[in-house]
Amino acid sequence: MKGTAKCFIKGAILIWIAIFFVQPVYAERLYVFYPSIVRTKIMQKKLSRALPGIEVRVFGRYRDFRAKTKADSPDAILSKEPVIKHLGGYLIKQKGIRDYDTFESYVLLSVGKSVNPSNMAGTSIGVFDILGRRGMKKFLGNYFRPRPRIKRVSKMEDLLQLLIFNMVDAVLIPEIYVAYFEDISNLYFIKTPVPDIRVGIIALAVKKRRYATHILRSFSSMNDNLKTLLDIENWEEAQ
Amino acid sequence: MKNAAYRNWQTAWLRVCCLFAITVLVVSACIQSTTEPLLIRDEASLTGIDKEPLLIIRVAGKNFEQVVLGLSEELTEEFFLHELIVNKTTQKDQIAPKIKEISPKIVVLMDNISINLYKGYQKGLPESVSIIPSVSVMASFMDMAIKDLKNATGIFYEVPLVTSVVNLRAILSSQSFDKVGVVHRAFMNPAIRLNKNYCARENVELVSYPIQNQGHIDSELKKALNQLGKKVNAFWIPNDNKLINATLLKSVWIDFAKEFQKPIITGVESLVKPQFEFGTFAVIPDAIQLGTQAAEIVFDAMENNWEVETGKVEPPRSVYKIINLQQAERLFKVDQEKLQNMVDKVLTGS
Repeated sequence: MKGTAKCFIKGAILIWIAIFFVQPVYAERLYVFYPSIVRTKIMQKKLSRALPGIEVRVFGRYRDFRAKTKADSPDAILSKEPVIKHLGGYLIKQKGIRDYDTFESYVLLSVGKSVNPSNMAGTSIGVFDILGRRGMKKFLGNYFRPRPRIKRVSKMEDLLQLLIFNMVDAVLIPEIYVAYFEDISNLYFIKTPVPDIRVGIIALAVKKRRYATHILRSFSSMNDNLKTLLDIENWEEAQ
Repeated sequence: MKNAAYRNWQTAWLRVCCLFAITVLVVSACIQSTTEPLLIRDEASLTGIDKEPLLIIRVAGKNFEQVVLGLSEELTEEFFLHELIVNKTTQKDQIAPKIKEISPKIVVLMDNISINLYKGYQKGLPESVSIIPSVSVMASFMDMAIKDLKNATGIFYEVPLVTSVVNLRAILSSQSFDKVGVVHRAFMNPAIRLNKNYCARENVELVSYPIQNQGHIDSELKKALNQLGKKVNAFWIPNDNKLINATLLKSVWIDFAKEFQKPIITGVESLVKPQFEFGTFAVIPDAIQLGTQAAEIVFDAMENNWEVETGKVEPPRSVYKIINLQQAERLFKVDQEKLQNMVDKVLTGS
C-alpha cells in the first residue's frame, strides 16, 4: 500500500510539474489598441497591474496592432468597434458605456474659423489612424461626401501639431478629447459637431471558438480607475 | 508473482505519468512556437502588380534606417523601394545610372550629401526632360537645402519651438512661458520669423537677438545672453554648432544657465543630461514618424500626377521629448500626470 501511495505521489508530482511549467503559456492573451491621450506605456503598466494572470499587450499604432493580432491570434482584443470589425475573426462580448451610451460623438476641431461637415470639398482633416491608409479613407468616406484629404497621426498630441502648423483645416476627434486640447493649448478652438459620426467607444472582443473566461471575468469586475483610464463608466454585455 | 505484477503496474503507471507530462510539455512548446510572430505579407506585395518604383538616396546610419522603416511600413504595398547608400566620396555621376536602372516615380533624399548629389544630377539634365519629384528629409535648414531643386519638397529636421513650449508649459504649469528668448546667427532670420509666427498662435512671444554669422561669437553671445536673460521666462537654443559647442558650453552657456534658473529648451538630448546642469527639455523629431510623414507626401505626389509643391517644407509633426527631471523638480513644480503622458524619456541623473 505504501508503495502504491508513493507511486501515485510520484506520478502526481510529474503531472503537476508539467502543468506548472505549461501554465504561463496558457495565460489568456489580451491585445489592446485604444487611441487615447494616455501614453501606450502608461496604459500597458496600468492594465497589466490591474489584470493579473492575463498577458496584456498594448499597442500605440494600428499597423503594429493589426500585424501582431493576425500573427498571434490573442484570446481577446480591446479596441474601437470599427477596428474590431475591420480585423474580423473576433466577436464583441462587452461594450464600454459612458453617459448611458455605448457610442460617442465626434467633432471637427478647427482654429479661428469653423468648417462645414456637410461640405468638406477641398479641405483636409487630421485624424488618429485607427484603420490604416485605405481603411481610414473608406471609413471617412462613409461620413463625408466628398471626402476631405486625410492626414493620419498615431499620437493624439500630434493632432495639435497639425492645427498649430496649419497643416489641416480641422481635426476629427471624439468630443470627450476637446478638453485635452483646450487644456494644453491657447489656440482659439472652434468645435463643430459631426452628427452623422457616432462610433462605439470601446469594446472587448473574443476570438471565435475561444472563451477567454478569465478575461471576461476580469472585465466584469473591473475597478473604476481602470474604467476611467478607458474613458468609460461601465461595461455592458453585447447583444 | 504478485510482487512482479505490482512492480509492472507501478512501472506502467509511472510511464503513463511521464508520457503525459512529456506530451503536455511538447504540445505546449508546439503551441508556443506556432504563436511566434509571422511575417505578414499581403497579396499585392508578393505579386508586385501595379507597384511604382521609388528610390531612396541616403547616407548610412541608424537614424536614417528608422526613417526608411517608417517609409517602408507605409509604402511597401504600393511601391518598390530601392536604396542607394552614398557618402562624402560619392560623385554626382553615380546618380544618373541608378536613376536609369530604376526609373523611379519619386526620389526620397536624406541628408545634405544626398540632396547635393541630386542637385548635381538635376543640373546635368536637359531642359526638356521631365523632373522626377523629390521629398527631402533629415537635413538642416531644409528650405535652404532644397532651394535650387525643381519639383522638390521636404520636411524640416528642426522642431519648431512652439512644440516644445506647448508641452513644457503643460508639464511645468506654474511657470510662465509668455516670453521665450533666442540668440541666433543672422542667417537664421527666416527660420526665426517662422517660429515667431507659430509661437504667436499659442500666445508666446519669441524674443530674438541676432548676432553676426562670423567673428567674435564668444563675446557677442555673452552680451546677448546678459541682455536677453533679464527679459524672458525661458530660453531656446536652436541647433547651430557655431553657437552651441563644447567650448562655448564651458565658457558661456553653463554660467548663463546657473544664473538664469529658468527653463532652457534645446534640440539635442545631450544638452539635457542632468550632469551638465544645463538644459531642461529637449525635443527631437521621431525618426519613424518622419518616414511616415514623408510617405504621406509621396502618396500626395502620386495623386497629383507626380507633382509636388516646390519649395514647400513642412515641420516634423511627431516628436520625441526628453526632460531633465532632476533640474525640473529642483527649480519648478512638475505636473506628474502630464509628465507621464507627454514625455518620452525622463532623465533623473541617478
